[in-house]
Amino acid sequence: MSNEKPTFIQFKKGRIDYGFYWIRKQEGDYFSCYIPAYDLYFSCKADVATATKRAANMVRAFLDFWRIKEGNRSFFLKLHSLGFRTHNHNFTLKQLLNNKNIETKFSAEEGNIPDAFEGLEINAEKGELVFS
Amino acid sequence: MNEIDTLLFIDIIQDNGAHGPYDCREVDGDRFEAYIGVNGNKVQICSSDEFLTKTVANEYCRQLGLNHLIGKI
Repeated sequence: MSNEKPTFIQFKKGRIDYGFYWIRKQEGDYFSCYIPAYDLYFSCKADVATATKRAANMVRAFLDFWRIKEGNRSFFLKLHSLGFRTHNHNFTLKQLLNNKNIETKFSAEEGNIPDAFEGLEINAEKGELVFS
Repeated sequence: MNEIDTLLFIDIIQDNGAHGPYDCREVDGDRFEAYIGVNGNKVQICSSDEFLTKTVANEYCRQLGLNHLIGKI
């Protein structure tokens, strides 16, 4: 694994770019998978392409759920509670909570990896959400 | 057996106090449902497949505050 930290979420005008790690563990014919930055779990048939697609879909569903269903305020508070931080974090977060449109980039450490996923291969992915 | 039937798992967590699905959404053919745990956590569960691994099912139980189910799924 490189020293690069791909776990980030960047807010730009009309779009969100993001990157994350996911970890898989083979159990029989299935993978158990974990996405540390968002504390998300899923399983799937033991196929790397399927797991990669599902990891991307799960993060996309997570971002849509918090941004659309719960709203921006809950979304930013959720990112904070997951450990995401941005430059001049307290000030920027308060601005965002007050509906200020700010282009900013949050990043996070990989978080605590559960024992069951410790020491396994880490995969990095990137994605983007574009909206009007 | 390392897996549990996904619908059975959802029946179990609902019967033990998890509320939902609070939200359902499909992304590129995968289905995700959000449940509210007894601890108030909103937990996203992937229900695309017929089975979940017990590892993942146990982690869902922990996130939902259903610790008494961990290891018994």
